[in-house]
Amino acid sequence: MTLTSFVKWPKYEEYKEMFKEHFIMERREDGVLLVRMHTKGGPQIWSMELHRAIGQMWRIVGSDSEIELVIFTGTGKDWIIEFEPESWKPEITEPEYTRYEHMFLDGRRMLISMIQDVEVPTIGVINGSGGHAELALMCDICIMAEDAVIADPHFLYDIVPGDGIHSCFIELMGVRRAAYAMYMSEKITAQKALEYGLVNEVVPYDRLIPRAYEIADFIMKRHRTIRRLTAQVVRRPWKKRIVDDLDMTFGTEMFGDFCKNVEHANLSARDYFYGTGEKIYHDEERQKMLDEKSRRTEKSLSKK
Amino acid sequence: MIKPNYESDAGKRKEIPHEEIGTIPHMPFEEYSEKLKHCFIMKRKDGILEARLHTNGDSMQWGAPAHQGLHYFFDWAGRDPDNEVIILGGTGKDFTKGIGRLGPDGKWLPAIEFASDPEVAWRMYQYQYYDGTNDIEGQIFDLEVPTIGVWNGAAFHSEIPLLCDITLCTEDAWTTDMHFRVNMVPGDGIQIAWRELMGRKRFAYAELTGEIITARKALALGMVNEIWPDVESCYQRAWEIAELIMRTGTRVTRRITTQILRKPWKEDIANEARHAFSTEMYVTATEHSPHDVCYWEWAHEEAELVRKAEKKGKVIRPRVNGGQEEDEIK
Repeated sequence: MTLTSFVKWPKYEEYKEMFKEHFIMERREDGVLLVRMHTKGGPQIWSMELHRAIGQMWRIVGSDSEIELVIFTGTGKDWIIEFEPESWKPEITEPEYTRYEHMFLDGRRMLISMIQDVEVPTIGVINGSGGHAELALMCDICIMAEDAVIADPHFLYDIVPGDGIHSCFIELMGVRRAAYAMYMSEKITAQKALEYGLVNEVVPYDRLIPRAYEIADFIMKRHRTIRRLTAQVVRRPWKKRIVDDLDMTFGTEMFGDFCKNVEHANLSARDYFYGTGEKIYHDEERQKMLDEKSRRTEKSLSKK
Repeated sequence: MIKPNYESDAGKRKEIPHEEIGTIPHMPFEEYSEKLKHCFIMKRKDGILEARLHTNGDSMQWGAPAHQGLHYFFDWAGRDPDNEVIILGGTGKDFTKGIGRLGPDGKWLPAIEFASDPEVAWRMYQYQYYDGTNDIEGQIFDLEVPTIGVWNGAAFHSEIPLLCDITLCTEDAWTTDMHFRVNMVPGDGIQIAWRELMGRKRFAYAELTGEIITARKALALGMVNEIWPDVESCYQRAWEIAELIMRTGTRVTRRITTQILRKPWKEDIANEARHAFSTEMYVTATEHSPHDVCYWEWAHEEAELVRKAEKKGKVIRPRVNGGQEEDEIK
């Protein structure tokens, strides 16, 4: 009998329950775990709560030695397209606190945990259109629904693209295409994403999850240790990329948010992805006021 | 004893007349030394340019004038092909005297350009990030010729003399990184200069504890090359080294050797200068930084104790309300 005992990590049943508001999890007998983002059962809505939960999920799932492969996806035909205004309100009332605790900290952890805290192969499944595609693009393998469109609209909203999507674009499609995609908020169709090397396969929406399982089955045929060690070989460029350009570019994005008034609560990307692209804010009047406020400071600069 | 290989080739630069090939002349020394006279006292002889940072003829007050002045200095002096070696340092007793500006009547004025509150957050870009990143990049990328830094007395923004290829300091030189001391993130280039010169372990300690780095310590850590009794003997020695460089290598060899020496700085700067700077700005916007002058005065008091102890072979370790002399190894 030893003096102390091993501390137990949370078990699947336990964390499945912990995370149920944000993810629906299904674990197969062989340890293949499907993690599906959702909000109230429907497509995921970008909130500070989900933002934090993603990093927490990767850390906890990564700690479970009975998990052998993770499939990460979302619900419905959206990726990240809606922002929950109520959730992002603290950015308006307490920008300093929120932009550190919920943005700089959670935003970096979300990707760092996925890359550093997980030992097993990961498959990203982009089920729908939207931004924050890095959540799936940084998985080892990534497949995308054939009618989905991804884009990085940071610049469109007067936000510096520094929170991870830039890392994916630069790493996967090269500097030239990445520059265009960031400045132009380029809408990248599944076909183009395949051509650019962002994703491995384009799959009809209904076939996405079955195809992810087929890929998982292929990988799962190999020896456990070999799978896990191969994941580390595959992931090394992401580790370097994150060290190279996540921490401090995130700081640059936050610096920009203080120089130009930005309120995430007011963002809505639905019309950008599906409509004319003219209405990208919930409250156009408020945005005009914010823009005007920022412009005033620019004017006072040019007077000098 | 070094026997010179050559006579100085200053002023013997070849050039096809501008009219013949349609090029335009660079801004002459007379013009930029006049334009920048509010923050540099410059003189040039035999291709050696000496530029002393100053405020009203005395030690430099840090603020927008010096920030912008350095940026333009590296642009203009760096583009002047008649400069062959550049000596860059401070004036008077100290390299940096404090933060602020002097009005036309010589009265001290606060550095309003460094404000970071929401209404004027744009100033962080215009007066800190824009000039600051270009200062660092300019010193390394825009100067083609060997540089000799002169660090006199007390210094913050010590990266200016430290990023020169060769650095000399006065016997009473000392520095401490003020960033963490005033609740700021060290991201404006100081972290590159200190970390690369003293090593990451020593830098972590120095930054987090506000350690006083004296001239002797800087020499021992490899941050400076030589120590001289005072500011004038420092400059005198800098001129001597500049002449040695002029007479050892020819123009192209000098200039290209400089690029070889500077490659590690170029890598560090490309790697982190911009984003570390903006991360410092981001945290400046969120956290209150007590910029009061008393912090710099307190550092002077500590430095005096540390230098006194050092002469007796003792150390004073950084401590809240510390100041006790002790043996380096008990």
